[in-house]
Amino acid sequence: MRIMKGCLVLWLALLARQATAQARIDERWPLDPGGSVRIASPFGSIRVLGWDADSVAVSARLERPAGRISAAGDAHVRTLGVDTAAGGAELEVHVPRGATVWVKSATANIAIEGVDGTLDLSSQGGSIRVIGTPQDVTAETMDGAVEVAGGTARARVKTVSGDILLRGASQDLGASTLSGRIVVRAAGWQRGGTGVQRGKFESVTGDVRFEGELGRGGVVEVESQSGTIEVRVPASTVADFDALTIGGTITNHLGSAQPKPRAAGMGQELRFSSGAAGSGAQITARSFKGPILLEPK
Amino acid sequence: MLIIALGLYRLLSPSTAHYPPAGQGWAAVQADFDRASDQLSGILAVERERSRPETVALVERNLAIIDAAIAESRAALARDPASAELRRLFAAAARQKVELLRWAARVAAS
Repeated sequence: MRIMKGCLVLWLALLARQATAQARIDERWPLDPGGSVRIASPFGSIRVLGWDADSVAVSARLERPAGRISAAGDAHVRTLGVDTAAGGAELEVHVPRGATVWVKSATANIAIEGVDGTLDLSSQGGSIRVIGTPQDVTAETMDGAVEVAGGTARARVKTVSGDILLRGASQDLGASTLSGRIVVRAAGWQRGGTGVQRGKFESVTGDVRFEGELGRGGVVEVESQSGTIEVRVPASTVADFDALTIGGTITNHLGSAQPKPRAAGMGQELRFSSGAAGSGAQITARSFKGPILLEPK
Repeated sequence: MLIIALGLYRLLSPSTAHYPPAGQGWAAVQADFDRASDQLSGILAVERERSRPETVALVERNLAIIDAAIAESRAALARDPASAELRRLFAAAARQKVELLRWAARVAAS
């Protein structure tokens, strides 16, 4: 019994110490509905939420009490920074829905929800996740994963080795990775989108998979050095397909057309139209030595 | 720095979609890439100690991947120097390498 009491006292003491070792900060400033918010926080996590209020509200928990959050700016631009003395910081920031948001981190994971303005997000090693319908998204991370879900007018995503997942009803998409995997799940008009109007997806060794619907006249380019390229579109898609691989193979299940050896001697190529040529979308796939698969969705 | 800027401009700008024909123009593009790549590698080597070990490991791992891809493209281009597709793939890999080096140098300097 005495041992149990001792353990309880020790646990409570540790809990109290941990509670005092962390610092909690809550602040709020006015911000225009279309104002800008710039956030720099190296470690921990950063969560930005859009709300229907003309203000920026920050709720932060700093790992070390020595750390500080700096805030500067006015109702047009608000800059928030967490210094490295804070160790990790769990940051939750509410911004007006239409705000422009810029976030930079070292390893902190970045999550954005419900912001309709322009997003510019970068991290060295943290993941980036965007949910909602922002006007424009730029996201870069070295080895973190990136997910953009919902729908954007324009998205540009770049990683070194992080995987990229783009899903939803977006129009203009671009994704580039060296060794990560790219997956695109594009929703069509029946889910509120127009299908992809423009898409460019490229990797060096990572696999690239495009799955979804193209807008009428949409143009999608997929390129990889050695990753597998997979294009899955509805069988009813009207498009011109143009696939070429130098050292890989092409497999087509979107019709009867079959690849033939390239005129230059190495590799395979396949060109066909699933409707009147030039009347629909355009899909181009280029690979150095990875396989190319064309499949019905 | 001017050489790096020129190399980056030629490799990273959208105008790289219009690859020059094989010969002098293409050789110049490859030379630009080699120069930009060497310069950035030099900067990275100097800044290496300021980077986190895991960042260094990540960059080195991916540099090895991209160098292998570039070597493959070069070898294929040597066999078929007129191939616009091979030039395009080489340019894409070269762009990725320069971007990786530039990124790594920026991270090290920040």
